[in-house]
Amino acid sequence: MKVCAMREVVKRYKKVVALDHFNFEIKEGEIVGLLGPNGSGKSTAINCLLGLLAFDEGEVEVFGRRVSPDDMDMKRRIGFVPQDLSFFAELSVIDNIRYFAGLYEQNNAKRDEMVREAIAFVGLEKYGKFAAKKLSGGLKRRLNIACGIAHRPEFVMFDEPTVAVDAQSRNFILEGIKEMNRNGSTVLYTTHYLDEAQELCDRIVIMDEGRNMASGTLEELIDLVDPTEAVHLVLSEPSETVLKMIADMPGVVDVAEDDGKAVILLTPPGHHLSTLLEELKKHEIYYSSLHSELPSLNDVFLKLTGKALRD
Amino acid sequence: MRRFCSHMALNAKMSFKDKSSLFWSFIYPILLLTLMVIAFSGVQTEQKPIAVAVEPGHPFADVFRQIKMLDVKDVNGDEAFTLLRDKDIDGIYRVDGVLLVRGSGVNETILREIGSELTKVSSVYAAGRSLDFTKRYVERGDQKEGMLYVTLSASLGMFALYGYFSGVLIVHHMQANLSPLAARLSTTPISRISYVTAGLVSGVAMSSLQTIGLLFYLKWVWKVDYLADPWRTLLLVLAASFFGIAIGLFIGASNKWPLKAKVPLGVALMLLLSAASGMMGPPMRLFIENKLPWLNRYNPVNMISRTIYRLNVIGSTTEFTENILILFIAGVVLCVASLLFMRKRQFKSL
Repeated sequence: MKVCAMREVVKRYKKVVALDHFNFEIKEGEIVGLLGPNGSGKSTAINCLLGLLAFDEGEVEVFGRRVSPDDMDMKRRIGFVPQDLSFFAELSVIDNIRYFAGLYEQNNAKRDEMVREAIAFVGLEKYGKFAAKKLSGGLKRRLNIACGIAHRPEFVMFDEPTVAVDAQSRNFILEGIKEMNRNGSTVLYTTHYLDEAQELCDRIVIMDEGRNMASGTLEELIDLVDPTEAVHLVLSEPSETVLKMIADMPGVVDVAEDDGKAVILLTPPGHHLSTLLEELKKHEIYYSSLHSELPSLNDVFLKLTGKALRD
Repeated sequence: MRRFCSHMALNAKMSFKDKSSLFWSFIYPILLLTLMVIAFSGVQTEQKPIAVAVEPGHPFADVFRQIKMLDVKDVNGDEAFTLLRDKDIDGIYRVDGVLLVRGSGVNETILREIGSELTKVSSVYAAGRSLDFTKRYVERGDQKEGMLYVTLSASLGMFALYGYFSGVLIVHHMQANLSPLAARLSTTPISRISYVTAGLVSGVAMSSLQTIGLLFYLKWVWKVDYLADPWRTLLLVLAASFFGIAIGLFIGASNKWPLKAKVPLGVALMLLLSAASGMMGPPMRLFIENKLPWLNRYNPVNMISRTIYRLNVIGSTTEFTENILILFIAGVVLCVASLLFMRKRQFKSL
């Protein structure tokens, strides 16, 4: 079942096209990542899904209904964790979460249970009575998340929740999102960090300049590029003969030599490294170090857009 | 109702936990009023009856005797002049209706206001019987209005409108194109009307509490009594607080300026209005009243300060009902206009 869908959505800010016939959908139970550089249209897409932003063309549906800012039933079923810290800075952690949970649940006992769960979920048990403004950056991010998920939404949208967050809080946040997904929530996650998208998402939508450049699982996306695994070897005795012997080994599509280092390209990636090592041993070709690089999302992004994601 | 209460609780908690808001709402007004009292009157003592001579045959002689704040001396012309010259009295109500004073000051201001009020009342109930109303009955000369009362009243008028800041903040939390928090709240099933109404009610309560607190402070600490007519004063304070928040809502909702612009705008507007009302001293107010009388007639700070002064210092209810109604109706109009501006829930840009 589809949780949300955007079809041929066009959104213009005067002459700037933020979404250019953008299409994508999310099925129930998925974690879908919107991956793209800053300004690629990720937040615009989320704001259209939330009904906050009017768009010029196309259709946006959530839970099978056209998005409307007045659809309170839809609002009860979704959660939103914005990129900007959005809570009441003067209030305590507990008061903030209680207020947001109270917008969905009027029963005090149930609401307090939600608050306890949310605090435990983001690991803020020790900070319940702290004023939000006094928390560190990472803890504020966690509170920002707790306010968006306390009501146990069916569908949660995270807009770059780990920007400017320390590694510990980042891991905590990513593990929490996985846990939410295991508990049944469908997740839309925007990021410009490749590793987060790779680690977290079942499917990834690559965005650039408001367009859906490609979407699929990590493996499907990698298959879109020329799939090779690069093995870097520092040879003990590099020579033309040795390189020629390596070139004839199974799975090797190319060998190049660079200052005593051999760069061996294997295809398909992830299948021939052990065979290569056995062959090197058999032919008594010795090396002092080795490392292997599998194709990454950045290669995919580079191929699709002509620029690296980190640019 | 439960959500309404939760919005109220939120607003109250935010008001009490925000130290800068507490400073500007409570500490700063107290400091300013204290400075004014010290600067313009030294340490104010309890108001003593004002010694005034009333010439025999004066049409209001009996009325003057009934006014507790007056110490009426029944003396004739020459004797009265001597007393005035020797500073034993502060003024002479002459039989021809003219008030003669020695100079400027609080007492002279009060005598002038009493004379004016009685003249107005008399013009309604006894027109033409004993007085010539085409004549100017109060000789102001170089007399200036009492510095202390004018500046204090204008300051209180300004502080009574401090609800402006609550109004701006309510909109800042509700309009998705104004703040990230508002955008987030707009994605929740929050009832805007409930949030705005709760903000309005708690804002009026906080702002009124602040103004009433200042009135008690002036009364208890400095013996300046702005609570002589407590119920009417309370009504005025409530209307003023409501109007202040309504202006905040309107300015908050009618444009996309950032909070950093709307707050200074409010400060500037209130300082300007209170200056016109005499907070920087009576000459400015006299200038405005002579050159642009309509401005101060509908200047909300001046409406509040004059009414609070009349109610509590002179004991007059002149313009009380009219001013309350103007503030209340204008507040309602501004609230409705603000809600119309806030109808929009989907924006072209955030």
